[in-house]
Amino acid sequence: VVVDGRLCAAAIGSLVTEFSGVAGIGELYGLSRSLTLPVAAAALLIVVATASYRRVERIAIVIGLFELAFFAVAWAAHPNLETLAKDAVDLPLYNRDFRFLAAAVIGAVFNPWMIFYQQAAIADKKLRPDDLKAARWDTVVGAVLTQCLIGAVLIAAAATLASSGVWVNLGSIGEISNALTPLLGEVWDAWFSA
Amino acid sequence: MAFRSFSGGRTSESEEVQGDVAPDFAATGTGQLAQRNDKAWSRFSTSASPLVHYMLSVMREMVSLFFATTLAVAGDSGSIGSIEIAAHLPAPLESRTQTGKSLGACRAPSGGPGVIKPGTVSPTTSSRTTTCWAAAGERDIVEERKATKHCVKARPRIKIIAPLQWISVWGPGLLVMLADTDAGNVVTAAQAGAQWRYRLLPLLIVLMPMLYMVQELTVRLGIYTGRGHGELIRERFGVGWAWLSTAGFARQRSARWLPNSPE
Repeated sequence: VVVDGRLCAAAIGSLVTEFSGVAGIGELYGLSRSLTLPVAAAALLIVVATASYRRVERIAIVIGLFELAFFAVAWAAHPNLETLAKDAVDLPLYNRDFRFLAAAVIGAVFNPWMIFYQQAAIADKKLRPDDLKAARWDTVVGAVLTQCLIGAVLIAAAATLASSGVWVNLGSIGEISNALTPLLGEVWDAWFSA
Repeated sequence: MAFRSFSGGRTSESEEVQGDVAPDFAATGTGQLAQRNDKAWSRFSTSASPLVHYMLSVMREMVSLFFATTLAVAGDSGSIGSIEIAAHLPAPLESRTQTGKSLGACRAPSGGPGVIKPGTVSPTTSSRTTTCWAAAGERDIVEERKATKHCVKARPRIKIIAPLQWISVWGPGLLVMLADTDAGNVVTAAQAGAQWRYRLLPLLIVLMPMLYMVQELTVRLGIYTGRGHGELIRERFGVGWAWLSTAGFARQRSARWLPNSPE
């Protein structure tokens, strides 16, 4: 793995985004930024200094599987299957806003860092041609899982926010959580931010 | 035409490959069908444009991957069984003498698949490597393995039980996809749901194979070159393109710019 200036600059840009997410979730629970940010930075440094890639990968996957809570949220939102089926075939492609949001969804799904990350991880694990099939299945399952998780978020938002007739402008994780809280209850709120 | 190097060259090399693997196909039985299908496939796909050709070949690979694995799971003469059988065959002499080499030492051949001469590989190795993949009905992989035969040969062939090997390989794809559900993606999906109800749900499903297509390319690049993406771009296209490719990292991954958002 080559470490040079541009990668450093790019990584710093990414870190700032992620740390703003950490600060936002901390404030959701009433923790100040001056507490959550140093703790997150220290945890990151400990991981970099001590853990091997394989261990980091295992830990990260276990943490990432908490995202399965999205499915529980979607289930608890009681989506109307009839409406879902009707909407799925009713695509207002003539609408400019719809096309714009569709482009935003596509843009959010594909990230350049994913390409760099996965190739670096595979090179790091020194996978052989024999492992190709397993690595492909790893990718298939991951791709299906991530789209299902995002779909669960969409369903939860559609079932609660759209049907209640209340218009909410969503800009951050905190705002989504706040918008869903009165509808799903405190339990789901705790799950949602996990 | 970077993608051409992965799926292209099939027709030009097909004669050579057929000559190489013909006995194995006859032995496995299922290979005959795959071979016939592939001929028809190459006739059809060469007339299409490169991008269409690539997309079709990826879809075809996904289907064949699915069926091959279903066969293997069902206990039929699938790919996993063949790999285990192949592992029991006596290793050729040169593989024992070159086991010390690491993956870093054996990169993909500089001139592409075309420069590999059949004569440089011993008949034992070639039949072994082609058998296990030919059974899976995946001609692309057979060709890719031809291109990296010296790699396969140089590395020690460790006999691992297939499920354990699979578990140890899994990780990068799953992790990168879990990380893909980041703040920007979640906020965008919630906005889509709130604004258009379930109307954007079909789009998410359509994006599944696209996401696989993009990430699967990195799997092949990573396995067969053993190097990172940025390094390869810099080497192949130069420093300028490498800069441009990483510039995408710095873009703000939030949904602030969405329509009807407060800012």
